[in-house]
Amino acid sequence: TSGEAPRKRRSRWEPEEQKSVSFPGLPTAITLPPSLAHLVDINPETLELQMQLNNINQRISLLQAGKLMDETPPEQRSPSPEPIYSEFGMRLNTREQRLKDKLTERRTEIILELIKKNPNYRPPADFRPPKKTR
Amino acid sequence: LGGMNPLAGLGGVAVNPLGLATATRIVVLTDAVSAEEIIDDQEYQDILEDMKDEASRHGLCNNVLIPRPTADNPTPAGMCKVIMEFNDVNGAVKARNAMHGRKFAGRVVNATYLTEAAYFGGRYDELAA
Repeated sequence: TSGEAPRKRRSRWEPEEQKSVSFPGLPTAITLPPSLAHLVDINPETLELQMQLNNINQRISLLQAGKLMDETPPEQRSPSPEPIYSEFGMRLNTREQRLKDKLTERRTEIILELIKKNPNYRPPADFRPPKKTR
Repeated sequence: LGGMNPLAGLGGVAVNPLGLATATRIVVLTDAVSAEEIIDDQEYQDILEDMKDEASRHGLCNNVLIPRPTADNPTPAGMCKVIMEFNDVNGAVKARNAMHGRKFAGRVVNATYLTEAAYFGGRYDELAA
């Protein structure tokens, strides 16, 4: 059928590498220019990681503000490790410090995962990759 | 279809020995279209449109030729090639770099240049220096 109306042709050219995302519920796909693509991440996998990261960041800032409460009743808590003191007699592995270390470690893991899964991901300014030697 | 294009079966982007050919205003695509496709009028027009649209994205394109077999001349010069004349070398270089190695209708396109002398002389099969 060769109608007079302009037909909607699909080019035979292979689509160029572009970040094309579609939102469920919206009828049209939205194509972002590469310059903006890193700002929006709709990949469900990395979105989930990003949410976990936000959650951890929030907990770290709460902890630093002294507002992070441990809801576990004291009798259910696991025994604390032996205290470690600095050369000045300051305790290094306080409950807060141990929790902070744990959160920071998880934060690093998530950021490394995000870098691996999304080449456009920009790690936070204060992020330092962990030392390779363990 | 496979018989049309001896390089198509090699897979990946064919190494282009002319990749460093001197840039001119004339870009030539090989391996992009097959004779079967351009014999069909409708397909020929579609392909011509695809090529013009794509060429215009990179610069002012004065003309696009796709020599096709006719009753008088079953093997015209430059048959199954796509010859694009740009208004300036800059547009041609942008187009050549964008199209080389990109797929058209599933085939990996090879893009190089044609000298203006060969282009205006109708010697579309001449290899760029």
